[in-house]
Amino acid sequence: MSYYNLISLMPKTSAVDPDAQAFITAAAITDPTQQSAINQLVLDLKGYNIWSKMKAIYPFVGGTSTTHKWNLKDPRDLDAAFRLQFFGGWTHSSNGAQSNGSNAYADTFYIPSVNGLLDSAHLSCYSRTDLGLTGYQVDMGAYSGGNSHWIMYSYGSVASLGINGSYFNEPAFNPTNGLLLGQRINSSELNFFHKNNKTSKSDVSTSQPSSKIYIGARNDGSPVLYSTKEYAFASIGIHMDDTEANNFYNIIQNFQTSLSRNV
Amino acid sequence: MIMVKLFTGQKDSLIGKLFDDHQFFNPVENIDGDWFISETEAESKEFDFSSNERIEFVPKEINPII
Repeated sequence: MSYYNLISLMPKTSAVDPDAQAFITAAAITDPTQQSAINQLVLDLKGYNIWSKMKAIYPFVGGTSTTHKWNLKDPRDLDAAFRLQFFGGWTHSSNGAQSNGSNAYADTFYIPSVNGLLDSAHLSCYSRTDLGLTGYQVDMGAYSGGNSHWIMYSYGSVASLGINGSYFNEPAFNPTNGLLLGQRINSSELNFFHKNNKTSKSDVSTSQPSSKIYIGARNDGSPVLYSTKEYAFASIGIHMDDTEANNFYNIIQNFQTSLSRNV
Repeated sequence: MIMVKLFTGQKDSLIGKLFDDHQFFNPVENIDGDWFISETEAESKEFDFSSNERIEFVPKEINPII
């Protein structure tokens, strides 16, 4: 058999993005479907110019606290890399990480006043749990000195929201599942996308909280308003324009679909 | 939610401790001033919670900004 024939018989492998590979290695993701999903997520975020908008990306892949703690954007096992630290009774599975509504939260170590920008910021999370209008929970964020930086789907029939300003009440995002993206896009405007449906709000920026952002609760100096939802994604970064936000929604939805955990 | 009621002094021994390889205990206070952890945390192999009471947890009332 010729050398060419031997080469043509060798299994062909797709190139893996180096950032995706770094995460896969750090998190010890061995399942091929999960590896492929992570790689495609990174390729899509980069291809649509969203990767650079991110400071922290939590794909919640692998099914354990060990694999869920890693930041895809910076997969070092350090607080400075915004690696998650879990507290309390989380339930981890292939569908993500589920908080218990009583004492479970995750510390991102991301402090808006230190690590973020006043007039460009986003928080996002992907919940797989629909509570309807019965939930009284904050999904992620921090509150200190009168300065808000949090997102929630619902607090009963309303959703109290704020990014680097005061807070205000909007009608609840119902159902309480799917991708929720909250942003400050400049010094006077916020917007929120729930399942790619946009709500805009005029709000003047004031200052950023000096407390770390928690997932599954809000950090008021200690965790409050614990969530019971199952999270399959979360991110922190600067804002996206409407086109980028639309692409972000499609990317995350495709990511969840590839893992058979989309809602 | 059913949670595990801690004995007096037990809460302080759990602060800053891992209940598995990567997750920390987070004792929380109920409406009566007693401290609780989740049943997940109580599965820790480092501590014995077999004698602790399992009862319905009613959180301490707080009034955070909403």
